[in-house]
Amino acid sequence: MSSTMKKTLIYLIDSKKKRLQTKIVSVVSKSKVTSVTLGKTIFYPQGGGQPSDQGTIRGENGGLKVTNVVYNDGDPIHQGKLKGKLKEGDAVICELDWERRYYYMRLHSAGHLVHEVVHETFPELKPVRGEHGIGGKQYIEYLGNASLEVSRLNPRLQQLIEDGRQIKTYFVTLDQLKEKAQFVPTNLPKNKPLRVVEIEGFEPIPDGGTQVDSTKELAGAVIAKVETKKENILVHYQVERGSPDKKARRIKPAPVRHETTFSTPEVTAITDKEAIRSVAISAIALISDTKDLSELEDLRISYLGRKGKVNCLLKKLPTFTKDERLEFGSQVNELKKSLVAAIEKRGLQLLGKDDSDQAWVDLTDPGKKTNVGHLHLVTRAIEEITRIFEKIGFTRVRYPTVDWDWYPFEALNMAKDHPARDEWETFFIDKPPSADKKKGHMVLTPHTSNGQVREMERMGEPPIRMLNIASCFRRQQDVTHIQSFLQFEGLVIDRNISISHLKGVIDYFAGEFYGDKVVSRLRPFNFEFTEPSFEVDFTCPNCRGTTKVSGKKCRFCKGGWHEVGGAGMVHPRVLTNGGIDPDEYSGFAFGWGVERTYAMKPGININDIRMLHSTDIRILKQF
Amino acid sequence: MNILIPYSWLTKYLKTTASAKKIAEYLSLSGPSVDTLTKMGNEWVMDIEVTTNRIDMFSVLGIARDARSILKHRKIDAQLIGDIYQKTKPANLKISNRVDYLKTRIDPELCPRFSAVLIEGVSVKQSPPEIRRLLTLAGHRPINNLVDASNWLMHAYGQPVHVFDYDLIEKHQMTLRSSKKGEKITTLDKKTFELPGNDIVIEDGGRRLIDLCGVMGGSNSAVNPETKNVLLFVQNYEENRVRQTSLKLSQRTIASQIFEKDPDPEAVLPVLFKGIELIGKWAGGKANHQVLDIYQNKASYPQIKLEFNKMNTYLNNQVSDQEAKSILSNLGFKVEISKENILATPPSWLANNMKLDVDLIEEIARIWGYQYFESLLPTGEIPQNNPRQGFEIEFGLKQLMKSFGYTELYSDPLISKIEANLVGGCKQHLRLKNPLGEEWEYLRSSLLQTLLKAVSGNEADAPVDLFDLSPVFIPKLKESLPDEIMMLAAATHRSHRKLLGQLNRLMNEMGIEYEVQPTDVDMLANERSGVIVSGKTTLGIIGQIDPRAMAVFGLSRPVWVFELNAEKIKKLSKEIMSLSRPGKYSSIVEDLTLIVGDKVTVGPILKQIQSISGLVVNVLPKKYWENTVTLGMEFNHPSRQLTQAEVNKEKTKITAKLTKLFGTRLKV
Repeated sequence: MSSTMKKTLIYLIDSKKKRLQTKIVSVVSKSKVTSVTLGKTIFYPQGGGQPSDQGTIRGENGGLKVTNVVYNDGDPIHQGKLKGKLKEGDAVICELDWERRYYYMRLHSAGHLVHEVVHETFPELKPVRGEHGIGGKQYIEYLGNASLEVSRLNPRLQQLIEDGRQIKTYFVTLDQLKEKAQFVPTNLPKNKPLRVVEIEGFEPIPDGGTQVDSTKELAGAVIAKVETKKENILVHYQVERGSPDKKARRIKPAPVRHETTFSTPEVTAITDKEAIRSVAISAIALISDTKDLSELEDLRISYLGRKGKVNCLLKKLPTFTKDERLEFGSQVNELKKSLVAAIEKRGLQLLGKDDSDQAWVDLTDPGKKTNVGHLHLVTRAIEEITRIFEKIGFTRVRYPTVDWDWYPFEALNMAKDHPARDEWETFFIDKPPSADKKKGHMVLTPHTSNGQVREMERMGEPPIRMLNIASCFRRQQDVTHIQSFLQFEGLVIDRNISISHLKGVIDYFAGEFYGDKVVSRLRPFNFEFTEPSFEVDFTCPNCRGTTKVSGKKCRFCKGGWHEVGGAGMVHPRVLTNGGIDPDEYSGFAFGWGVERTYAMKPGININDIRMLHSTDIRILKQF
Repeated sequence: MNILIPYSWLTKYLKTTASAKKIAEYLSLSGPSVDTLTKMGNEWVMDIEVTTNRIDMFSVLGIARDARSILKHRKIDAQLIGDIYQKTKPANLKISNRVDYLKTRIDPELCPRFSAVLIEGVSVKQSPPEIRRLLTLAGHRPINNLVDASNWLMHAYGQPVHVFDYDLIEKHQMTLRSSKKGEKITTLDKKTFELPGNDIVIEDGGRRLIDLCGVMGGSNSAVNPETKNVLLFVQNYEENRVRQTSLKLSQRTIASQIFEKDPDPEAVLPVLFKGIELIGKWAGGKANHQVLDIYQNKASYPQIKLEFNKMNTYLNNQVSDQEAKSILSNLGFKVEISKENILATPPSWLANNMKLDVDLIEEIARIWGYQYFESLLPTGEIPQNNPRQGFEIEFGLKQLMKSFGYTELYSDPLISKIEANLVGGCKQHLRLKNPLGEEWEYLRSSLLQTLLKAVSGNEADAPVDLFDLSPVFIPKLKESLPDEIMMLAAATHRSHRKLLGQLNRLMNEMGIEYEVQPTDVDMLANERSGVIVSGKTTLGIIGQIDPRAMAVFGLSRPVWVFELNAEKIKKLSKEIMSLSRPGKYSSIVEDLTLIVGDKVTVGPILKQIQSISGLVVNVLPKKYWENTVTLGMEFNHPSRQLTQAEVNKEKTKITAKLTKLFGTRLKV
C-alpha cells in the first residue's frame, strides 16, 4: 500500500465520507458499460468479502450511475451506466448509496466482532475466510474442530455491542504488526504499510475494508448458526437490513469528523440565504479535499481574502433592510468563523500527514523507529586516522597481507633465527618458497611494516611519507587471542630526519586524535627494524595526564600515561634494503593497532579489544 | 620478559641516594620499563620489562648497572658495588680444559663455553632466612641451599646455573650431544619427555640422559637430602636449539629464555667463582682446586665508529660531543673521540647488541633523555606520487550499504576446510602450514565464507542485514603471491527483491550499467543465483544460500547475498555524473500488466521496452501476481507534451513487440 494509495483511496482512511469532489482521470465506454477512473475515490471496490459500493458520479454535463467498482491494483474502475457526458479532467462529485454502504460496512465490522467472540473461546480455530455479504453469504470460516454453540456465543456478542468498543483502522508496517498481533497471515507484503482494523481490547488484524467506528453501531447483529462442512466450521451471522437503525444514528462516532451532512448542491443561488449555504457547502468540501498547504492557502484567499467570496457576500449588505442586514450579517459572520476553523483544522491535518485527526501531537513519543545501518568503529577510526595524516602530506597505501618473508622479516633486519620468524609466532602459507631465494617463504604478515621496503621500492627516491593500513596476523599461543587485527604504519624518509620529527608527528597525531593536551612520551624499546626504537605513550586521554577524574583515581592509566605502540628511527639496513642510502637519508616509522588506538578514546568504554572483533550484531549496532 | 627486583637486593649492587620510586621513574624513561612498583611488607619490589635484545639487563646486577649510568647522567650519586666482573680469580683455583674428576666429550657447536667445578662435603639444608625472603620476593620458591644458590646466581647475574649430585653421574662421564628423536628424559619436575630430536642433551657413563641442556636438569642426577658432593655447572648453549626444545616441549623455563638470547660468555667464570663462594657459605662445601673451562672460540668485540654529523642529524643537534662520550664511558664502552667521530668498543655484556653507529646513537639518546628532544613537524617536500588505490570509493560503498540499513563487520579471514570446500573446493584456497586449529586452516576466497558465519550467529536477532568490505585471497599458479582482492559482500534475511533493489541503487550511485545473468554459482541455490555483469566484466554474484551451505554455517532462515569485486567497481565507477536538464513537459505514467510464461525474466523485457519505444524514460515492475507482472512506465518527450493517444499507441507497439520476442500477452 503506497502512500499515494492512502491519498487516493479515501474509504481506507475515512469510511464515513459519503461525498467527495474530485476529477475524472479516464473514461472508457464499451457497449452499455462505461468505466471511469478518478483522481481519488470514496467507492469501495469489491474485496475482502465485502461487496462493492454503488452511487453516483456527477459532473457538469452528465453523470454515471455506479453499479460496480473494481480494485484494479489500487486505481479503482467505476463501472455503470452513463447519462450525458463525462470526460477526462471533469470536476465531479461522487456520492455513495449510503444505505447500501452502511449496511455492508456494518456487516463487515460485525464479521470481525463475531470472529473475536469465536477466537476468544476457541483460539485453536484458524480463520480461513470471511464473507460479508457478497452473494448473500455472511459467515466466518474456520479450519479445525470445536463444538461451538450459538446460544453461548451470542450473549458475549451482545455484550461487546453494548460496550460500545471503539473500532479503529490505521496503517502499520509488517514488523509493527508482528509486535502487536499473534496471528499474522503469511501472505502479507513485507515492505508496504499495511491497513489494519483493531477492535478495542483485541489484537489488530490486517483488513482493507470499510469499518464502523463503534460496536454500538452493530446493534442488531446476531450469530445465526454454526455449520460444519468437512473439516471446516462456518459461523453464520446476520445484521438487520433496512435504513441505518436509529440507535446507531444517535450514537454517531466518537471522534467527530470534519464532515457535515449535505443535501444535493444547487447550481445557482436563488436567494442570498442559499448563497451563504452554497458557499459553505462548496468551501467545506473543497477544504477537506485539499492535498497540500499551498492548495489550502489558495482556497483561503479565494474565500476569505480581500476580494474573496465572503467579502463579496458582505458587499451585498447595503441591499438589505435593517432587520435583514442584522440577520444576514450574522449569518455571514458565522460562515466566516466556520471557514476559518475548517481551514485551520485542515492545515493541522496536512501538517500531520493524515496520521492524526487531532491538532495535538505527543512530542514525548519516541517516534517511529528509523532503520539505518552502522559503520564499524574500525572503519571510522581508519577514516579519522587517514584524514589526520593526509593533512600533513602522508599518502595512504595498502600493501599485501600475504607477502614474501623478505618484506616483513628479512628486509627489516630480522635475523633468520629471530623468534618472530619461526612457526611458533608467524603463520606460514603451505606453498614452496619463491624461486627468487631472496624472497623466501610466503607468510601472513605480522605487521604493516612489510610496507616499508615496498614503499621505498615504489617511490624509488625520498621524500616518502607513507600511511599503510592493513590487517596483520600473529600466531598467538592462546587461541582466545585475536589472530588478526588492523595496524596503521607511518613511514617518513627524507634528508635530516631526526628523533624530533618523530616526536613532532606523533604529538600532532595525539592532539588531533585525542584532543588538546594529549602529547607523547618516548621510552626505550627494541625492534629489529628501527634504531633507536621506542615505546610510545600518550597522555591518558581520560584524565588528561592528571591521574584523577573528578577526584577519583583514573581507571584507565598508569600514572597519567597510556601505552600505544612502537616507533623508531628506520634501521640503516632497512634503508639499504629499500635501495636508499642511509648516509644521505634518515627516517622514522611507527606501527600501531587501529583498534587499540581507538579504544583509548575517552568515554568509548571498550575494556576488551576483542569486542571490536565481535560479529554480534548487538555490539555492532552500537557503533 | 619481566623480572622482579626487590629494592634491597638491587642496593647490594647499587649504592645510591635515590629512592625506589625515583629509580623506577628514571629507569622507565631511559632504560627498561618498570611496569609496577609494589610494596611487599617493608620492601619495594619492581616488576621490570626487559626487551629481548637486552638480556644483559635480565638480572639484578644488569639493572643496577643501567640504573647507575642513568642516575649518574642526571647528576644523582650512584655507584656499582659487588660487580663480579671486577673480581679476580681466587688464587687457589686452577683453570683448565681438563680435570681429573670429570671425563667430558663436548660438541663446541652446541656448547660454546662449558665450565664446571666439583664441590665436596656439602650438607643440604635451608638457606639463610634473608636469602629465602629475597628469593621469594623475586618470584623463586626457596627449596634448599643448593637449589637456592643456583636460582640466586641466575637472578643476580643473569647466568643460569645447574647443580648435579656428583655421585649420581655414572662413571663421572659426560657426553654433550644432539638428541635423537624419541629419546626420553625425566626432568627435575618429574615430567618425562619424549624428545623431538636435535635437542642438546648430556649423557653420562651409564648411557643415561642426565640433562636437557638449557631447559632443565634430569631427575636422575638431581641434588637430594643425601647429596654430599656436587658438580656446579655453568655454560653457554647454542641459543636456537634451546628455543626450539623449550617451545616444542612447552617448557619455557627462565633458564631457557635466557639461554635462547645468547648471554655474555664472559660472565661464566665470574658466576662460577661466586657460586663456589655461596655454596661454601651456605652448604659448607669445599671446591676442588681444578676448575673445568672449555672455551674454544673466544668472542671478539670490534670497535664501532660514530660520525658526529650523523649523530647530530638523528639527535636534532641537541647533544654535545662531550656528553656523548661521557654517556658511552659510563655504560662501560672504551671510548676514543676525535673532531669528526667517536670510536667506541663495547663491554662484553653489550657486544651482542652493539654493532652499528645507530646502536650507539640509541644508547646516547636514551641516557641523555628522550623527553628533552624538541617536537618538530618535518619541513621537507611533500611526496606527490599517490598510487590512487581508491580508498574513497571503498568508503563510499560502505556508506551506501549503511544507508541501506546494513551493519558493517570485520571478520578474521581464516576458515575451516569444510567452509573452504564450499567455494570451488579447498584446493582453490591458500592453506596455512601452521594453523592454530582446524577452524582456521585456510584463507577465504569469498567473503561469504566468513560473513555467513556471522549471519548464523545472529539469527536470534533476525532479520539482520550485514556487510563486509575486506580482502579475499585467490591463489595463483606458480610461485607468486595470491591476488588479494577487496570484495563487498552483503547478506540479508529480507526478500530477494529488496536486495536486487539495493544492488540496483548501488550500481546507479557508482554510475555502472549492469545486468544479472541467472546461472549456477557455488554456495547459491539452483535457479536462485546469478552473476552480476557489466559489459564483459563479471562484477560479482547474487543469490540465495543453498541448503548445503546453510547446513555448514548452521543457518535455519533463508539468506540472500551478493558479493561484488570492489576493485572492478573502482575501475568502472564514474567519478563525475553527467547531468541532464529535467524535461520541460510532464510525463504520462501508465501501467502495463502482462501475462508472462513460466520463468520469464523481467530484466531483458525492461531493456527491450526502452529500445522499442524511445519515449519510455523509466520502466519498473510494480507488482507480480500469479502469472502476471505489472510494469509502471513513464513516457516523456523532451520537446513537446505527449498526448494520451500517443502513449496508447506506444503501448500497443510495445505490447505487440514483447509478444513476438517473449511470448507475453497483455492482460485485459
